Amino acid sequence: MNPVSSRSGHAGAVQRLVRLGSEISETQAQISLAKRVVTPDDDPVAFVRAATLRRADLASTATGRAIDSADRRLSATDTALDSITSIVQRLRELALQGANGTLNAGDRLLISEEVGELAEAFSGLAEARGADGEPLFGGAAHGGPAYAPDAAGVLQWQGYGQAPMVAAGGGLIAGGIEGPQAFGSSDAVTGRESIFDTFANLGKALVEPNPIVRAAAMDGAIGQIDGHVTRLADARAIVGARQSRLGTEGERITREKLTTAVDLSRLEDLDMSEAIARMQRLLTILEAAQASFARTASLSLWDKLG
Amino acid sequence: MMDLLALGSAGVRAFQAALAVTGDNVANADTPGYVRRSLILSTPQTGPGGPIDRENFSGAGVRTDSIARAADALKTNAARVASGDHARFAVRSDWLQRLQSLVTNADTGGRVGAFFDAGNDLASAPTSLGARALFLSAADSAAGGFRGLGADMDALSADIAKAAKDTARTINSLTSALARVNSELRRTQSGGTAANGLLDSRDRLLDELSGLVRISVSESIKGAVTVKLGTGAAAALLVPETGSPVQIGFRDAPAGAEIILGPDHDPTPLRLPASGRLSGLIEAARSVTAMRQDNDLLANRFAVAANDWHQGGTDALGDRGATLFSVTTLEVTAGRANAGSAAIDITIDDGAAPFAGGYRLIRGLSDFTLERADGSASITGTGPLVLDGVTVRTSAGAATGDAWALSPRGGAAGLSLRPLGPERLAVAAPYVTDASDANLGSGGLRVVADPAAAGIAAPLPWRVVITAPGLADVLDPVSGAVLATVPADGSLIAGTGFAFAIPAGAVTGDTFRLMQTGAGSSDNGNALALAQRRSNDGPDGTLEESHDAGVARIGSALAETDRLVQAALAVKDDTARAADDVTGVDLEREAAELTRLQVAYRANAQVIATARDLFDTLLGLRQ
Repeated sequence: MNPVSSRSGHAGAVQRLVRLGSEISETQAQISLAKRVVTPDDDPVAFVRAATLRRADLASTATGRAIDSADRRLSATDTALDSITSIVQRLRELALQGANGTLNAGDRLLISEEVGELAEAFSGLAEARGADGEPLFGGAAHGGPAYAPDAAGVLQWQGYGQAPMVAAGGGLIAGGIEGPQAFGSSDAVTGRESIFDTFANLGKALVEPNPIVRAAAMDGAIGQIDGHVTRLADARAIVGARQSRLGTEGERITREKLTTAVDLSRLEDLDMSEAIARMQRLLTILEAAQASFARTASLSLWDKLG
Repeated sequence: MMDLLALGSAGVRAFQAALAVTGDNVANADTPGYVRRSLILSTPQTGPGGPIDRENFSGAGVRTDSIARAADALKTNAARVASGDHARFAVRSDWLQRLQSLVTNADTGGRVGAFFDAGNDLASAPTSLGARALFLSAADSAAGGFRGLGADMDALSADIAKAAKDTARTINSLTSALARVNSELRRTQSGGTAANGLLDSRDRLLDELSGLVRISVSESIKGAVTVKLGTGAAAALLVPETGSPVQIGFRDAPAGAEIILGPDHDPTPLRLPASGRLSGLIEAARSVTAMRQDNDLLANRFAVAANDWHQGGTDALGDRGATLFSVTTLEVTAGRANAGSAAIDITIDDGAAPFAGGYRLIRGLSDFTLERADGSASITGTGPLVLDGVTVRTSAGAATGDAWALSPRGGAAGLSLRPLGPERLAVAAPYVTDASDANLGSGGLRVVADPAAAGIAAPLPWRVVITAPGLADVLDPVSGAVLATVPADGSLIAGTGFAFAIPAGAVTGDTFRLMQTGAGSSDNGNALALAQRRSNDGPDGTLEESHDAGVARIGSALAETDRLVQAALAVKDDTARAADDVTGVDLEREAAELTRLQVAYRANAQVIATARDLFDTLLGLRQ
């Protein structure tokens, strides 16, 4: 065996002890953070993959927030449409009553007054606003009002464009419904009427003294109201469909977040029992190495001299 | 008899000297760089045995020849190379570690992600001042992330350059010391204690030098060395056998950090040395430079994408979006000959475009002159100087003739959020369309921005009515005048600054509206378009992917360096032990040696005693 220089022999033994110590402290850091990958150099691929996952997770959270806010708006829209549908159904009942030839002018006046009340309630609902203070039926117009009276005193849509969209699942989902889609719009050329026109026309028909003109007007109004009821039902169906799409997307995001969390944990998390066992092993080795070093370093021929 | 006495006394002297050498070894057992010595004993030549010489039957005795150093040039060299390798990787790992922690702590990727996520939040609350303010602060944080990381890496570069310059200085002082040792060695007789001490310090200097830079050493008679930088015939000479050493220096050249030979006169760039601390520093400097460039490129890409996106929208006041980020700043470099200590403060007005060639600021007798670098405009005064929207303020302490260069700098350093109010955020798309509720066909108008489009010139709003299958009229909604008749088949029709398409699914009688987004719109078209920018691919994937790639590059460089450090450490330990086994002091062996020499010393003393006894016997005969 080669002679070993005392200095290098000693330094080598100390070096080995130090190395064991640093390995132990590294394991200790992993255990206390419960993470395997702490910095990019621990595992560059896993670190980047984890960064991507975390980013996707944050983006999903943001999309989730957008879905929630659109869902709130759609729910508010649905509530408003529900009340509006009851109003229009009541309007239909009143129109049918009013069309009954046996009523006298006084009764019809009473009915027309109730129609006026309903119109008030209706225009209030058409101005309904969501939780964020934006008119529900105003499209892309900010602040409102969604409807304002024209020269003839009939409410006309003031909005434009579409309600804010939500980007989810690779597509755009409309986060609301525009006034004309629910309440119709008026067009003098084609004779198309909005609900507001129908309210005004019914009110006028009820106080029309000429029975023939009145009967024709009442018939027309009832026909229009039927159309409006259908349109409102369609609008509610659209709102429902959009809500359900948002719900599906929301669920997908929840599931996705769960998968992301599992993936992240698989990438980054430490196998605790393995780490603790490793720690124990290293500590045992260190103790043994220390003891044997202390024993061998104290052995010397010099003790025998003298 | 006299011979016997002489033999004994020579033996005693020789072994006393040998014991002294062993004692010296024991005393220096822990001295770094000490090489174990041993005394070479030899028999002196006796006379030639000529006619007038007395035939010598009694032996010649022993004499001390020289003190030999237990050196092994090959093993020592291997140990030096290994320690240089280790130093190189260790220092590289050290600086890469710092670079990695800067990059991960700056978290520019996370900040850019937060910016895009804030855009998503903005899309779901387009009119909320809160969402707008949060978006602006996310934008500020993203710009700050790039800027902060850039500044940190600038500082890191400066630190590395300083460390490299210090190392070059240390190398120069080591080579000077070696040159002195060389000349001492030539004047000292070899084999003596003085020469051995000089050789020890020579080896220590060489060990230290090889930890800093890769050297090759050739030794001549008496131990004077020639040291070359690197290996091979073409290696540059660092320390000649005689004469003064060649100085080396470090510079951070635009092409990357490098070592230069003879920095004070005739600087010559050198190839990267194969090992040593200096090469580790240079590699680290290059990594930092590469990362700085990456960061600058990424910052530019981010700014261009964000500005372009923002200019494609309409803000809450109905105006087109302005640029979101300013991208240029001015960097002040004080003149080398400046005698004063004035501080310069620069502010650039929002939206101002500093002159691309840069500026010069010169201190006159009592005033300052700020001028464009090409001299095309200048301003002189004592107060704050304003030129091209650049305001320069100076503190006291400037000396006449002091000069500063103000050079434009883009990239990460120049990136900053412009002072925009929340209402100035262009959240809405510039054009808004809707379809009549009475439409029987499907689909709506599609509008795309096209600055070059120059078709229908009449201003918006328009009404589009399908007049026949595949054909539509564009009408003025107020007068009802037909502005143009266009195809309704999904093809793009040019307007002014935009183009639009009528869905092929529209049927006769369907109407659409097309208008410019005015003030106070809750449209979120442009905010939604930000998501598109996020997924836009560049040369390295999306912005965030490029950032991740940069982080991974550092991470894997560091991981690889750490592995190399481990390997180099093992080799270093092995070679050092191998060399130390030859040159180092083994106390056990010295103890054994001591015993052996002591015995020999006693035996020689006994020879003297025997000689004295013989003398005494002879003297006793007389009585």
